[in-house]
Amino acid sequence: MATATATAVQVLERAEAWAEAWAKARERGWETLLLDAASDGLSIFLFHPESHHHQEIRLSAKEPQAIPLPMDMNIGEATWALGLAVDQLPWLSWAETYRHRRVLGKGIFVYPLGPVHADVAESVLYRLSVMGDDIVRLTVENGFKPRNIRQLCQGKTVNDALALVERMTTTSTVAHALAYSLAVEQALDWPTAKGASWVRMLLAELERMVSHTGDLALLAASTGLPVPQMEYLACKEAILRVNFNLFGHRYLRGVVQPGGVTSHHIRPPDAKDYRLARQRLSEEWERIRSVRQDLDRTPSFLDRLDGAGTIPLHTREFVRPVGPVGRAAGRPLDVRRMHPYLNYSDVPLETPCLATGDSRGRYTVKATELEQSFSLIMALLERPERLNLADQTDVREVASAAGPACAGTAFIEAPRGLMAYRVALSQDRTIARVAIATPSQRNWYVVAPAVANHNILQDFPIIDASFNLSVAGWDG
Amino acid sequence: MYYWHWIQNLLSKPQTTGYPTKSDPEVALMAKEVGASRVEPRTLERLSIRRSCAIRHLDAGSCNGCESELSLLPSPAYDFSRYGFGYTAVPKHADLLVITGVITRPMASVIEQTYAQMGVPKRVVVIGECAISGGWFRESPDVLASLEGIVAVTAKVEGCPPAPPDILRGLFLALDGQVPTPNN
Ligand code: SF4
Repeated sequence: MATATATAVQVLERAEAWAEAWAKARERGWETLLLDAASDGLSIFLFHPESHHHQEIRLSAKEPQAIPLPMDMNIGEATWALGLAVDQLPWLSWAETYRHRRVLGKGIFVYPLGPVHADVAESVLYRLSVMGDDIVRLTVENGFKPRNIRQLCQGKTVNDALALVERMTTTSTVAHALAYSLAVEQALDWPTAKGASWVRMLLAELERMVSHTGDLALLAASTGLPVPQMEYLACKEAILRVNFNLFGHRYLRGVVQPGGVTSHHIRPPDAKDYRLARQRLSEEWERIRSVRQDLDRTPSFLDRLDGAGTIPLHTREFVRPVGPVGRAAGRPLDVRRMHPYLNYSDVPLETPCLATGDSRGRYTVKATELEQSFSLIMALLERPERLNLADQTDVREVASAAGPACAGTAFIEAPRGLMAYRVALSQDRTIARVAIATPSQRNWYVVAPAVANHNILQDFPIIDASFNLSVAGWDG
Repeated sequence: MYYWHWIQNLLSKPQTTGYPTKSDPEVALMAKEVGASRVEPRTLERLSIRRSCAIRHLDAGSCNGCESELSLLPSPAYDFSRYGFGYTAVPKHADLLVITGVITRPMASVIEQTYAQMGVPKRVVVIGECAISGGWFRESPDVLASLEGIVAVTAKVEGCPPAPPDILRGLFLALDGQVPTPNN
């Protein structure tokens, strides 16, 4: 984010005015990036996809006041962040607490599902209210695994905090490390070297492939198709091994750092390693292509996805889902294109966008993105001379220097969608505060309305798999 | 077309690694030694589980990295069913409880309940730094340091996340009391 545009700051003192300004901006097409609870006020960071303008609306309250609940003003994308903000700012309270609704009536059964699930899954509790086979309502309860990462980061050094945020969600390790590093770099005004940026792009796309193959494997399994599931898993394993061979960690942990990138191997990857990786990945291409071709010709698969778990229009407007979930529901937002970071402006990229909002849409978007990431990786590996790990900012020199307190913001396209970071550093260069908006923490709020939208119980595992959001990224 | 695949499969070398019972340098490289894994003698009652072992996975607070690796065990690359391992959806059917992630306060009682539901004999394998010691999240107010006082642990697999070959070795350790040595 060397070319960060200036952020227009609007400071308001009245809570109603603040909430209203947010709602108005949202109506005019501004995207909410994240909510940051600093000691001097509660800030909302916004970005306009067309004009590329940044905006911060800050509520700096002098005395305790009750703030109108954004959900009441039809703002649903920061629901989880609201609760986190209250913990950090004692003067803050929301005017009303969210009301859980219940369904009552003769013949309604409630199936509790979780927190422990069949097979290998994360802990989260679903309560399915059903009438016969029809799902009338779903509530998703999270919070079984609070790790308080945001809180733990406070007072840590830049590198120690990196180790924590990377572990927010491992299938998005690179995304977290990258957003965090970009935010730190912006705060400290470090330039990012071109070479490191190319490597970072390679890492980000490899991770997207791992994440999407995992998602598609689960989706195939949920419809009872073990063959494509195994094909996708084999592909995922192959990419993980490429990761390991190039950088020494299967999930690329610790590879992206503020200032640049590093490798766990003693010898950083050279042209020969990149060529080998390219060869290994191109073998997977055949697999990816043929599995998709076969799936697209399998009615027993497609029929289960068609129309299953359609996101209702009002939910789409309320939550404004991001990433593949949003792109399958007519929201073309892709940070790589709308606000290019790294060297994304130098590469061709066509993000798929469908208007259906159902499981089929999510499948198609993910499968298409998988192919695109693959071609992007191939193009990157074709020019190994650009993937230069040595070309980066020397962090040791800059990291030790104390200076005035500062803060930086960054947002990127993680495999599951828009991810935003705001990192504030104190004078001794330890972390004063991090605000993190993960895509899952936002997208989870469309799952329940999508499931309770004319589906039957048997559709549930399929819809769940078509989202495959991260619980860890929600619980923090 | 079908037969062509069939012939191809006959001629090509298997996708599945022989590790850990046979040697495979590529996979062995990813597997760190299961250094700290050990069998705690007090939990070793005589086992009547032989080569058909149902695994119940429980996420106590993980980052989904350990899950990602666990979900690769049935994949063609590792195919743990060749040793008789398989996941089960019901704790009552399970022989092994596999726990990933930090032990959070809300999940402690869930772990106890799940363990209580399992029939005897049963064993517990913990996967990853988080589950062993709390890892990077030890200082978190909602995180317990370990499983001590909740369930007795049979084997621990270190790593963050441990690679699938190491997890396989950990499962063997819990079942047989020893890790197989690769031979050709
Ligand atoms: S050990 Fe590592 S990969 Fe496993 S849950 Fe903990 S942080 Fe995640």
